[in-house]
Amino acid sequence: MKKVLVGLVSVVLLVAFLVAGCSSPAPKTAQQAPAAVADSKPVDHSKLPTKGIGTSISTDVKAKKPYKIAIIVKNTTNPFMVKSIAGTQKAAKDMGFECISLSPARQDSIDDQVKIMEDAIQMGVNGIILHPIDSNGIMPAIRKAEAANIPVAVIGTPAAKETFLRSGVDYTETGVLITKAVAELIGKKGKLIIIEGPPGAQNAIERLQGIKTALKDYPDIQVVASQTANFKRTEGMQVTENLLQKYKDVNAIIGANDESALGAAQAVKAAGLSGKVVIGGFDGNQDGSAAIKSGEMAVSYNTDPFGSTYLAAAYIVQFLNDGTKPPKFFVPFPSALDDPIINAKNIDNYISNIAWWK
Amino acid sequence: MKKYLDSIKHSRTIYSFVGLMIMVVISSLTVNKFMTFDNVITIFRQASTLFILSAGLTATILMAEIDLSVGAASGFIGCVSAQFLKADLPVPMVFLLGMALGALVGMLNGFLVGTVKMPSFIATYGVSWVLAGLSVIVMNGAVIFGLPEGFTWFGTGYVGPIPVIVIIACIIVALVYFLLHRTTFGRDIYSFGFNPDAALYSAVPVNRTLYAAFILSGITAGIGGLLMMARLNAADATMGDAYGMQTIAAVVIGGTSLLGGEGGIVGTIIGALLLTIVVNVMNLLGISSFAQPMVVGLLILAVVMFDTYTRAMQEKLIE
Repeated sequence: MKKVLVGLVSVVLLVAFLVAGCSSPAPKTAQQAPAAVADSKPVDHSKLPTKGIGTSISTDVKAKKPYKIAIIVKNTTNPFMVKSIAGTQKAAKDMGFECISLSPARQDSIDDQVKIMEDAIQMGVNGIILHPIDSNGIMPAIRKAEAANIPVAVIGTPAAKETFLRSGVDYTETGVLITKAVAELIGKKGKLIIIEGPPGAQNAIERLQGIKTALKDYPDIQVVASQTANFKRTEGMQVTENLLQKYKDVNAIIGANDESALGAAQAVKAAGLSGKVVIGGFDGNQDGSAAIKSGEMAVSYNTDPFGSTYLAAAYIVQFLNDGTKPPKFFVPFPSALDDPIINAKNIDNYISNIAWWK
Repeated sequence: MKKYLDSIKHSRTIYSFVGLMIMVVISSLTVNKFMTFDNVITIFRQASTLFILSAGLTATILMAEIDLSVGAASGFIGCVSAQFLKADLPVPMVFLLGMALGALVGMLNGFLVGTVKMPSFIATYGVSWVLAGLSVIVMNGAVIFGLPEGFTWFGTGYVGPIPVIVIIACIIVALVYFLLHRTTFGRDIYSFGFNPDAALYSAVPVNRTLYAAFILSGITAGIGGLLMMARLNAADATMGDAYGMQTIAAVVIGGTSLLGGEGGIVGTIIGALLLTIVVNVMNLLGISSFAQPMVVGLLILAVVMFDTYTRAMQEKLIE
């Protein structure tokens, strides 16, 4: 029995040491920065084929033939994905093409997404709008589509290499702008908790990079903890509950998306700290908007999946019509030019005129 | 009492308990905020959902069957109940309907395993897919939020300093303990799990017990789903996903044998606490997100390895 106890203690100690060894700041990912970040300057609005943003987006582009364009998403449970499909459907109606929506049978499964890419090629679609599940894993399928002369526009999570078009937000920029907004709200000084996205996910990495870049301008803001919640509300709540044990005096929390920020808000409320902690998120989703209106959350970033897929569809239709290519590979949308920050002042206008989730 | 202590001493639960104690000691030594009242309450609050979800599952596993549908069932029942709440159904009614739905899911599992004679692994796996799919359909890609306060109280409210959800979890655990250790149903579960042939010969109503175990598992999944939703103040189609394997891990870490007949609810509580504490401590220590899943995995392996090793030693001693 004694021997056994010694054995167990050493195993636990081993784990403890491993843990201690890993508690240094997150290792830099060895992943190559995708070509996508090369030029992320916003494109001037007058040069876009569309007007407006969110559900009020419109275009003059018309399809010359009834093209078949596929929208391939990551899952059908996330409102963001559902509205990406809705954006493409509206585009199909406005521009006169046929929209085919496809989603992996197993949520967020890169295997399944590769399979449906291949199916789409077999089906003979003319263009593909794609939310890649994995930046690298999807590349062979994208190249296969391109070999079959099908332009692939990528939204959200970037693909590892350049394709026909990348649209959706520039994640780095979203991180920078939200961090600035939060920093101003806490008077440029204080303690900050970052609730990270899934470790290794390209969009989460870029967003975190943006947050860190922006923080360089605020030397009086101290990041007391940076932990993952995998973009999930449950985990955002649990992580925040745990962290609030140690940092009751925290001034601000930035969640890597609205869901995790809302979890944080729930934990802050339960800890009786409502009103004392400034919470920022990303996406401007329905619940996030309600939380900004009620004051539980301070800011969010309108990542507009509706508008960005619509824009991507317009570029694809233009290309299929007469070979017009996008002005450059990465057209960030919405960008800093679109006043993407949602806060207490503009929330009513956002909800009634812009919100992509309606 | 003496007899009970003896039975624990000879069961594997004692080893998970030792594991838990070592974990607690190391944590309080390394993390200065670990042993505060607030943090202990936080740990229990977070573990409550896991307590409830794995309570019924323990009965199923004691019968040497498995229920892989617990996570999906809790998510599905959460989603349906959110729709009920949106339709302004009264809260007690929603709870009853949720539990009834859970019982229905359990009955389906019981039917597939007990009557159709499918292996429980594949039957409940299939059911979990059906339920996950139904959740997506029920929610239609939306997230429901802003539930009535009379409902969220169950997930976020307090009675004195104790969170309501912890109290509910304790009541459910006590009920399941009573069922397993003080009723014929419980005795039948243990005797069947321990030796199915002997149980058959001694006229244990095997099928009825099997149905009952799955129904119990379904009901606790339902309550777990309701409370998960009350705690989050929202429901989305994927919320049960994380619990599918975690519940089984809690039961097995707690010393309940996958071969049935050995272990019990006390062990499950310990297993759930271990799984919750490790995450809590990693958060408090500020451990890199990249390392966290690996540490959880190592902990599971360490506990089960210790358990296997001590059993082998014990058998040697007996020889």
